[in-house]
Amino acid sequence: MSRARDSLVVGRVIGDVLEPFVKRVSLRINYAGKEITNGREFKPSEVVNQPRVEVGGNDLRTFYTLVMVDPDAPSPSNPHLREYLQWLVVDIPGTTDATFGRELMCYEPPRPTMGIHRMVLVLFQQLGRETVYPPGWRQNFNTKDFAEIYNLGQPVAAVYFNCQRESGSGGRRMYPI
Amino acid sequence: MQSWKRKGRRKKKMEEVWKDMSSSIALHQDIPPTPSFCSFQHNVNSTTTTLGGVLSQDLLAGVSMDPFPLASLVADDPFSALSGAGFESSRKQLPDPRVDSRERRKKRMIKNRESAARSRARKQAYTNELENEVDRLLNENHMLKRQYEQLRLEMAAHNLITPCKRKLYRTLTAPF
Repeated sequence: MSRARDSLVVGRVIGDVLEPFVKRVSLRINYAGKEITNGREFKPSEVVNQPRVEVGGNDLRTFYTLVMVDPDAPSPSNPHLREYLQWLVVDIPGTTDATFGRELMCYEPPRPTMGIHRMVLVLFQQLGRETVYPPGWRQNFNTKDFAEIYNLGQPVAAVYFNCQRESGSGGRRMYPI
Repeated sequence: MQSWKRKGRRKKKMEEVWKDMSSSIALHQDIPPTPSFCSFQHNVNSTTTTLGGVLSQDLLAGVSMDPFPLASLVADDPFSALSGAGFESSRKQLPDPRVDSRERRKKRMIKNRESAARSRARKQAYTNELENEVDRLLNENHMLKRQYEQLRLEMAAHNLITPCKRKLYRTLTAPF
């Protein structure tokens, strides 16, 4: 378990987006069968439709919130739009999937134009089912603040993948400097 | 961020410009060539607005002042890149071209260093995750094999006993 957190630390997800936490609930996400493991690469064409998000836990009466952000928007070297909110689903019952939740911000397919972006998905356990107001815009979202405002506490699970533009060449520029 | 509050005043002019932008981005996958970007930046001034309620990341990327794509032109033709960029105002403090290029080179090095660090982190995170997966799968495999063996043994033991019970025997009970 601690090594899974290491990937989040090494990939700087813990640091840029989240504080260190203990993974408590299983979170399995796949795009058309291709499972997300930390640091795996997905092309925009592979992530154009929302993924299947299977939430663990052992109780249908416990509700979870899923946040998907891009901390490297619009470019990892100049992420002035950090974090860009791609998706926000609340009231997901335990042991079910995200389709059973309430979508506050619809899934926006990642379309990075510059650099290789990390796409982070974070799961929080809700205390109850209170009214959550979605932000007015997607850019400059702050997952930590959001969790604080709605008393979500520490994340219970998180995973991230890498995404670059469809014709990307692995972060290398086409023309030599 | 405060500049966004001004969007109400600029809305009419913005909508036209945004329509042009979105249609051109829809057609082209990559970032439009820098000269058109620079002229756009004068109008936009880092404000953002919504177009039909949806503002995608690539539109925002186009709007923002990102000197990154211009940096690639630096070595080729520094002066025309600078004059075309509209960065002249920040450069007036350092008119000396030699100091200029030194500064630019330093910035370039820093950016490259950061980019290299990110690349290393990416690689490390990926191999780390792969190693974890391998360990996990090996353990799972080991456990499943043991379970399988146990079940097989149980099944074999069962098979030796039960068939005898199930069979019907005909015994001779007649006196003759």
